[in-house]
Amino acid sequence: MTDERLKYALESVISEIPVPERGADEVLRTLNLLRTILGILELMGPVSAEALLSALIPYKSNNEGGER
Amino acid sequence: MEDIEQNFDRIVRENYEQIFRTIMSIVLNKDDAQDLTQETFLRAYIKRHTFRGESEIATWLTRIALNVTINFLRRRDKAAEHQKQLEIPAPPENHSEEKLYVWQALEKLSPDERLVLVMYYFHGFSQAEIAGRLGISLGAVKMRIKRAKEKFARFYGEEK
Repeated sequence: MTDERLKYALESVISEIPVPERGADEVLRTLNLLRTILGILELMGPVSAEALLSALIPYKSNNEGGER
Repeated sequence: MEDIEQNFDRIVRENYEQIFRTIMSIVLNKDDAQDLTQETFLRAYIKRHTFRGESEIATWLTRIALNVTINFLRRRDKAAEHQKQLEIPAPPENHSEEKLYVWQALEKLSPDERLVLVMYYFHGFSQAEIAGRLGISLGAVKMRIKRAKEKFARFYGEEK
């Protein structure tokens, strides 16, 4: 089998592989979610990140208040 | 150079089919191919600042897709159980007899063999680039391509 024949065979089959309907829509939906998360992270400076951490882990702020 | 940020939705729509087909031709599993296609575009979006316009966007996306697929195959190799569950899909409908032989020969190859054939013969990557992406020597790539081609030709002949 020549290289050209193999190349042609692959092209002819791969180009006809059925693609999921609305596959691109699903990617875009997830992408929008990613954009939202990235946007939130971008808005949060180090202070905001610390505030978020404290809110998520309440015992951390209590301990920093002097209880050891 | 195209503004990827602004045009990313269009880029997804224009390249989805090609990326899905490339991945599907290697993993031969629709669900995995769909997940890996999604991962490809999400990684591309996160890495969009690294695109310097030295190649077509489609080529840049294909490189990311192949890296995602290579990593998937490595993970799957480690998870032997998944390998057992791998479903081989029915060939695409409306295939001519000739194309059916090609598809069936492809199915008989290992994912690694399909990977090098698709990279080298379908996408036209150089052997050196394939070596770099797979993390193996140039000699090993040459050998892998040669063996994959021989096996494909043999299976193709058997199917006919």
